[in-house]
Amino acid sequence: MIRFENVGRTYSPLGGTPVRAVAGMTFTIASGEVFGIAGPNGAGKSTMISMLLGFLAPSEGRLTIDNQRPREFVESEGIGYLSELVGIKPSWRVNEAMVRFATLAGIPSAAMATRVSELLALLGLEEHAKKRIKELSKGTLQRVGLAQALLDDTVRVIVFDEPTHGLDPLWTQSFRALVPPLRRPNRAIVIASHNLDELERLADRVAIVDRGELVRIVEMRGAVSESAVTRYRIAFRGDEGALREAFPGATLVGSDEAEVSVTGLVELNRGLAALIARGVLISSATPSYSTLEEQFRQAVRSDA
Amino acid sequence: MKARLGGYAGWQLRDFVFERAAAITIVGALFVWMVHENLNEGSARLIAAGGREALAFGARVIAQHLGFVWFLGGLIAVHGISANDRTTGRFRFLFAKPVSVLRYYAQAFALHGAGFMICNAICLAALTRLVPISGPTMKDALIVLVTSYVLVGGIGFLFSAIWRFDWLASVATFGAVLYLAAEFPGAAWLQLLPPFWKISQQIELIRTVDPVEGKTLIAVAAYGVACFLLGLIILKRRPLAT
Repeated sequence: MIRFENVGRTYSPLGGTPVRAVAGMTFTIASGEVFGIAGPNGAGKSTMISMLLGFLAPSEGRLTIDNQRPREFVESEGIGYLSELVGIKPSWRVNEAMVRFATLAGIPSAAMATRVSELLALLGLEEHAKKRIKELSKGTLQRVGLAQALLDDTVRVIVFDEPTHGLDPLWTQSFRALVPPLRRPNRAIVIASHNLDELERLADRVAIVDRGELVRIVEMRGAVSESAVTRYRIAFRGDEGALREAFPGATLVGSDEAEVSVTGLVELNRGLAALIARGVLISSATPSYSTLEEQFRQAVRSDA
Repeated sequence: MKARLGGYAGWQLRDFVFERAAAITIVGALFVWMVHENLNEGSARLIAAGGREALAFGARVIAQHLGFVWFLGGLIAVHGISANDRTTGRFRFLFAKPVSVLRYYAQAFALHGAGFMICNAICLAALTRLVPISGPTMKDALIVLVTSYVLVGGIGFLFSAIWRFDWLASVATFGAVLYLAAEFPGAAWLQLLPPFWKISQQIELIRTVDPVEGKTLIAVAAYGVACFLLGLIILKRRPLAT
């Protein structure tokens, strides 16, 4: 559905040195997929999103949504979009903003009041409906941004740029519960986030970008990689020597916990079986980092 | 779904009323108030006597009024028309919806023009309570105002498509053109510049109770329309995000 083909974007400021924000991006996002984009600050995530919405044209390569240029696609169908910075006129009231956006989204007049009320209720905005945008806290404003992104339930593309930025933990959890029901066989959902845990929970695949380049795409389903080196924390009670035999190179972390590096689940389970056979009691074995975190750490250069 | 841009016109007009109409009306009303304060006994006798002299007096007042409002009012009506959305990031939610950028701003331009005319009509109506104004003079005044909006608005629209400080560019262009037109009257290259001085010439015709020149006004309006269209082309080609 969404196709990046060797997409690049270079900013050429007047009289300044050209800055290459994105280079050589090639990947596709399928209908029905939730696709994450992760990367450190300045990695090029915002530029990618701006190109996806047609706010910026690629300076190299080709970017299409359903075989159309992004701007053409957006102008014909619209995209459910939450930007990192919620830009709504400060003097507008919340319900007014929603009605305006609903009008632009093409929601029929007859259905508008119901749809706006549904979303205000869904995002806990009913008590703020008559407040002006400038009176809202950052988290509430973010929820207004989210509500307007969900106005048209027929859109085939949804883009969330740092969707939980400014949200409190409760609403962060609510957002995570809100995304799965948005899945449709004919809809692609893109989430750009610093929050790897969030992407790991929500996305099917996550593109890790760094310094404007796609470093790797991590499959989140069947997530534990069979080839990548992964570190686990093992809590145990028993012989330290047995641990070192089962997992050469294990590092003790405290008196009854150790960190081990293994290549995949087979090696981990073989080591654990050897420990149990030697009478060591295992109380837990958990990844030191999540799969995505681990991949992210490997992918993003240490000086980034 | 397709955007209901026509349905959004009401909101654009509402924005105009709350953000610009008051300023335009205040500029006009200020002049009306000055006329009210400066009508002396001689003027009152002239108005009371009626006839051609009274209408000539009214024409002079309306010409002064036009001179006062045509550029400033047009500038207020269009400044930042597209640049404000870009610089504040408001374009992101607006144009993620199935909305044509060009249609959105073209509609705003037309609505701001209508609003500009309504504000000025209110001020002219107030002026008619103070001085007698003939039908032809009023008609000419309205034609000059429409033309001035197309010119000033078109140039402002073009600058707004290019730069965030469009009002500054408009004011600088206005000042430079009037200076050049005064220094080099009749120079052929002046025809390439925004014909602000031609609006002043038409206002002068109103002052002397002569009919305005249709061909000149059409040429002035054509210049404004060309700038507006160029602005649309730039909006089509330029990135919304920077």
